[in-house]
Amino acid sequence: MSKNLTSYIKYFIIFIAVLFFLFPIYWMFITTMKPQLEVMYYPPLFIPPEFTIKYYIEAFYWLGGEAFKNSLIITTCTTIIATVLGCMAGYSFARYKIGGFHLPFWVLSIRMMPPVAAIVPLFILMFKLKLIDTHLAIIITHLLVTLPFAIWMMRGFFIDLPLEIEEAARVDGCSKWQVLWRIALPLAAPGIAVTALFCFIFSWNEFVFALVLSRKEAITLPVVIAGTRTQFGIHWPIMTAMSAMSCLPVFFLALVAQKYLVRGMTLGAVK
Amino acid sequence: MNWIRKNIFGLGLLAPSIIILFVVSIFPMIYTFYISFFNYYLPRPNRAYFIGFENYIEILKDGMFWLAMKNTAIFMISSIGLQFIFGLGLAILFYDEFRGRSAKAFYLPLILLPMMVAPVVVGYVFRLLYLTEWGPLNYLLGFVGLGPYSWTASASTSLLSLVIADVWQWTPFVTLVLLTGILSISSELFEAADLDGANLWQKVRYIILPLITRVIAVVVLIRMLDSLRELDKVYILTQGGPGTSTTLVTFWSYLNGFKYFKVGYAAAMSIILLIVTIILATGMAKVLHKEEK
Repeated sequence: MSKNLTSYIKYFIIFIAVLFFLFPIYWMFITTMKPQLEVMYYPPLFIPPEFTIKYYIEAFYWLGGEAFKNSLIITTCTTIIATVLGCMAGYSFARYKIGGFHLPFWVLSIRMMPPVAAIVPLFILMFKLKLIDTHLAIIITHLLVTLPFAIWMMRGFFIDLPLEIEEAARVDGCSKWQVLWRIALPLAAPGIAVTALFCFIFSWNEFVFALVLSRKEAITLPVVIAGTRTQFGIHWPIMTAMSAMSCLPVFFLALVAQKYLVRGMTLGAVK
Repeated sequence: MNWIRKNIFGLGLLAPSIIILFVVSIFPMIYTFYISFFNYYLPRPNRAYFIGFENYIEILKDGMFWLAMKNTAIFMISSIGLQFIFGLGLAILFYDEFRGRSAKAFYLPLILLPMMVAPVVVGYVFRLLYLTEWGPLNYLLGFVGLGPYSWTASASTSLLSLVIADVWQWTPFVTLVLLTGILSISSELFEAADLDGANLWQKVRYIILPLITRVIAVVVLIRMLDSLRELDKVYILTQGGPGTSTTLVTFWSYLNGFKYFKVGYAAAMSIILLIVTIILATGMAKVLHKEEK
């Protein structure tokens, strides 16, 4: 009896916790369904008054579509570059032990650095190279966030692979390049996918570099969302519709990668 | 020379990444260090002149810097403390209730969403929740006779508003990491404890906590490093205000650089921030290095 009761209490606490974590996301989605005036309504509406996607369409035309496209271009390029270079450097660190532990960790520590420590020089550099407000400038700065992460993660995934297979291939006459291309990379494929997914998420959500380096042409989704305030007050339905547009792809990717979520988010420290 | 020839393949694989990281990270950091000794006003770069350590002295004398440090410390300690307490509690509950069986598949997708939301979006959604007159939070608190509070609009609750948003976003992360740590403990230990009639508290105190200290260190260090970089949520939620109540060091440095254009001053502040980061990152290196040995 009392065992049943404590069990119910536990389920109740878990239920409240899950509710707490999901409520703001739920609120964001239902606000996209509310006409602008209904947002300012008392008591607040907990169930959407109507199911409309009209604000998604408005958001799309109101810079949202353009920003979605820019974000997609920047994030895709960043992900591809970071993953390819991350595989190369990660393999080099894992198998050739260049720099021991400290060089790879130094690379990782770049990921931990506050963006404000590098942002002024990068701004001046991009200004001198006339790259302000270009996709390239933002891709380069996003590499600062994603490349150290990709290198470190791929290093961990390659270290996890059994060395014997690669040694056997070397004995059978494969070149070092063939060992990497034909054996190590296919074996590390799940790791590569996970690394790419995380790079995508980090770049997609990045705000400060994109804010400082974009004006109009290369503006990304988080920057446009932040800008809904300055234009005409905050247009809540459009703002939340754009927020939902920014959340859905990463939610999908996170669910795909959930098995590796802890490993990715703790920089491989907890597997 | 011989070493280079032997490792030419590995070095070749490494070279492009190192070059890129040098351009986007080392060069800017050295440059930041360099201009931190200058009186550099961004719109007039040609009139920058060398002033030695004056920026640093001025920062250390500036009450605003110390206030920003204090805000950062309060933000960091309270949000990480709450995330840790809630995270550990939930992780133990999840573990105790499901014993790590297939139930993981059920709750994991539900609670992993907050940490995936862009910080900018978190900021705006919480502004929506915090609306004084129309927001659901004050409405719900009204049922238990609290409020209405003006949350981000009042200096006494603005930092709390920031902490709540951060706790919302990162408690699931702390929970999942601690849970992973607990699940890696051999179940024989728990079975033995059950045979000896240990209660849940004793199991937490004598089995779980001692065996997941490394995981706790990792999660706390990562959260500390993240809070030192915290800028997005402050930018959206409060803009450092009202007054200076939520001005964190990163935001103060950002304001100096990109609003007041006192670039040298902002650079010197970034260097101070960087030193704190390096100290924390060294701790992280120790934890990671130990595991690899």
